[in-house]
Amino acid sequence: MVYAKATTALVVLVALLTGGALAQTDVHEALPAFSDQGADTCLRCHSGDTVEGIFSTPHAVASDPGTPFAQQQCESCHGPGGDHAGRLRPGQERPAPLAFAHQGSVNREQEVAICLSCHQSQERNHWQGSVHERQGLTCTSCHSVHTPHDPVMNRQEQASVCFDCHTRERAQSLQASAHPMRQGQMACTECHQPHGTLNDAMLVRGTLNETCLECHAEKRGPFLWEHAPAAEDCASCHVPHGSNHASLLRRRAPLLCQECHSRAGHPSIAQTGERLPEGRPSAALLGGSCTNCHSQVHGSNHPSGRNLSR
Amino acid sequence: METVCLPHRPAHVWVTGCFMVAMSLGNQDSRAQGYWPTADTAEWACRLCPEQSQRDGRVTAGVGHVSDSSAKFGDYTGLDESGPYWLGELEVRTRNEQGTYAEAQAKNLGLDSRQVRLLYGEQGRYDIGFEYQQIPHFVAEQARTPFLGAGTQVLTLPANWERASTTQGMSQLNPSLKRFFPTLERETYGLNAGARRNDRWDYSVDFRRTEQQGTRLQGASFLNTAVVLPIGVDRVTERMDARLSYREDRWYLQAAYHGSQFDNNADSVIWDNPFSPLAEGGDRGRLAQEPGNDFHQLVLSGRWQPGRLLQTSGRLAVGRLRQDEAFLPATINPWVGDVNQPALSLDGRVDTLNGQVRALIQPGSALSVVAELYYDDRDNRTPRLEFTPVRSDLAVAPTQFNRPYSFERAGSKLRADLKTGSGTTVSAGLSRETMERSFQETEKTSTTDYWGEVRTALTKMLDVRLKGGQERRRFVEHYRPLDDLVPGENPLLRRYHLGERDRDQVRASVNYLPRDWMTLSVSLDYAKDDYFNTRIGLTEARDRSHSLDVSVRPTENLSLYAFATRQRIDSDQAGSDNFSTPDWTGHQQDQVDTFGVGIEREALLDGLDVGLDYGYSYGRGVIEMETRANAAPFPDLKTHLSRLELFARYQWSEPLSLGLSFGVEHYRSADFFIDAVAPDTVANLLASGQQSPRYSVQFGQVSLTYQFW
Repeated sequence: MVYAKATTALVVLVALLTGGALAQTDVHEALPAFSDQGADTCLRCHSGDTVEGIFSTPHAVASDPGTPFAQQQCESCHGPGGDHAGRLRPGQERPAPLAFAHQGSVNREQEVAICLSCHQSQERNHWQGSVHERQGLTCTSCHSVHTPHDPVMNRQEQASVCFDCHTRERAQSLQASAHPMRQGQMACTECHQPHGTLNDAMLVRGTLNETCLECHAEKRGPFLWEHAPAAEDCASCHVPHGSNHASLLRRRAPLLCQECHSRAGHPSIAQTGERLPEGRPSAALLGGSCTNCHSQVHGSNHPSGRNLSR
Repeated sequence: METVCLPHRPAHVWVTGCFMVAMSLGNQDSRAQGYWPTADTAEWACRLCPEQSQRDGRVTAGVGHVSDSSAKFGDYTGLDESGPYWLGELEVRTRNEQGTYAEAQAKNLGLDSRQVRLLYGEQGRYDIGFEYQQIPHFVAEQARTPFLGAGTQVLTLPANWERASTTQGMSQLNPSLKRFFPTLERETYGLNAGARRNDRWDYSVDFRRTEQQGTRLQGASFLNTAVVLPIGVDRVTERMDARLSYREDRWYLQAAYHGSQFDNNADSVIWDNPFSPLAEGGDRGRLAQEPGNDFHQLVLSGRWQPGRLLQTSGRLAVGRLRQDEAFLPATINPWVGDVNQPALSLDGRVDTLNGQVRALIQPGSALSVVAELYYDDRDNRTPRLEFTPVRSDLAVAPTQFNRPYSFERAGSKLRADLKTGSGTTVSAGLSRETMERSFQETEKTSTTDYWGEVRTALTKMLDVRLKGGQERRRFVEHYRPLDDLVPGENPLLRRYHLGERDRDQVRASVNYLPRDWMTLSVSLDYAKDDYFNTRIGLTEARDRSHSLDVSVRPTENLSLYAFATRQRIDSDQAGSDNFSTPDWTGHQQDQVDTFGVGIEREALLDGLDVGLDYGYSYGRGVIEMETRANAAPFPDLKTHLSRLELFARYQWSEPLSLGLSFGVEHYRSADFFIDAVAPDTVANLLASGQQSPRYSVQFGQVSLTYQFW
């Protein structure tokens, strides 16, 4: 009921705004003039790979009307550079470019808006309000624009860019069980959409399970005998970025299984050090523990598989 | 026949859907060409610009060597065998002034971890791509099995096998053991194409086929005896994504189709029972493998921004999951006789519906408010039928109904960010979620979450962030053990994913930039879960981590980094040996320390770049049991990884460069679950004999790179 009310209120609000949507505020107040000669003006002072690398990228293809060099060249992104390139009075400090200055971002929102003015379709649709947007990231926090080899666009190098901020995940990628990110076989963007989505954790699919089952479709079912936590949430038993235990499990069986199973008999019994090989070795502890018998933990389609052992 | 599903969907779901459709009716504006005003570029000749016809091509060939064989070292890399291997890489890019481009990339051509990517297109108009990827995965080391036909669907024992009631009594076990290497290999072929028309329309299609083959380990049992089998894997997954999108200046709409089909070419495994049969005909068993299934989903998503005050975006996905593979017979045992089942196949069907709507309201530059609604429904419409199972291929058991689980998750979130004038942002949020489930101990739970965050730049060099929150999960419907579960669960049990829980979380981070070429970061994370109403099951869990990062680039050609992280996860749970009140507790602690350092120096000498990377990880797992008697302790679980790699690149001449790398990787692990567990260690378990990995490997590469463009 509360959701119906909230949704209705939201729809009403939107309807009210539709009729009188506010015009875009003018963001171009008191802008300096453009340079006299565009990129030629810039290249008289700026050279080297870190600058001229742009000419080896799609941004510099003038025949594509959507690119910066089909429009205002360098100033398509950096903003009108008349002041920056102009003559200086004695003692006057040269004004920085309006955007993407070497010293760093002055106006993060503006820099993002510059990129999004061209790159606003597809996966960048949910940038506004996303976790990365709220944390103050800009496009250049991750992307290197002036090089044909942007590391974040490369499967082998992408993780190192993400790990600059995601330190926990970097540590987990080095643990005993992890997805093959360290080996360059998997990139963060195979599960996550860093430009933002409408779900938690910025997942590429609508839900966590849909994301996992993209590559692990054999666990999708539906099965005749389902294992409820597996059908509901892979994270009930697994952690995605790395674990000290095999198969990315949160904890070790039998304790992991005993968080939910307490039937009389062997599911209830505490397994202790007495059941190690030098004592009275137990099949309920050693090897695969519970999965020595109940190996169909994601579900079974066998008519006799009710207890997930067929 | 009875179909079980949750009650009808609430009205807000339909409103959300209508809202999504209504988004497409906004005002149509022409697309803005960039951010800034338009300049008069008539005199801008770009004379100093380098030639825009871009060509970049290099080919790398070389040889590498691995000192020792190790499946674990070769996991995902293909470097599992000692000896030499050849190295081949290719990278070609070409783009002409008209924007027509072609790219080819190939990596690890001499290994089973090779990747190839081809791309051709005309910028801003269309692109066509092909991708190939091979991933080797080594499941275990030093596995042994007495079975013939390892990796197939029929596992037989040698003709002279002598069955016994315990592994120690199997006289032919040790003579029959053969070493095998459980390995899985994924090969993915991808084909994609995209097109754009007049800056408004976008079309794309992406097709992928993944073949997974090899051998894995899986347990199988006859009542109280079990065996670890070397089971063959032969699976194919095909996925397709097709998207059609249209954009205007203030709104965007995308319709997409996602299809995924899974086929299993090995639908079951038959194995000889190595133990003495517990009943007539119990000398063979049959284990089902994952059934083929398919999933189809239509997704509508979009964005609408009527003005600066309001931005909205939403997504609605309707899906259907089906599985109708023919059932295996209830038993392979001919002595049990015919066991009739109510159907020949499941006719399994799950309808999914999930959607989210977000509204971002910005009354001014200082305040932004985000309201979100989300909904996720798994409506399992699989028929509920009464089956007659055969327990362990030995005897008919009482009939049982299947339980087609459904759930419905619905929630809302509200968040506000307020920027003060002093470079500080104060944020607060709250969310509420209800979860309804079928066939489980509680039909409905409710979760509320409150949090607050402060992000402030204390100085230009010091950025501090602090976030704290509390989450509360409560039963809306009473928790009642299921009546039809025989034998039942302990009434004091609260399954951990259902149990009432208080979660407290704190996160803090400090970023310090003493120079514009140096960054120091410290972060702390703490979370505590208190299952305060649980007497049997998980009662408490804590997760703490802290990390330190240093990144330094004092000159253009020198960069250094270092990091250190510690994560510790504790969990406490209680159980009952005698199905009554708690009489044992288990405490599990995992602590992982990770450390890394790296340095890269370009132009150390003329044309010579060098670097070093070192990574270290030490994981320690402690399991402590407290029982009425003095419980014997477990050894610690340990994983120790250290890797040092040195690399150098020398630019021999304009087109030719020489690459050298040398590394050492040590791995030590101790896992009492498998260490010292030989195939005959446990009387009623014929184990695989796999041991926890240990290796010390030196590896090196010499390569020549020729830049031909």
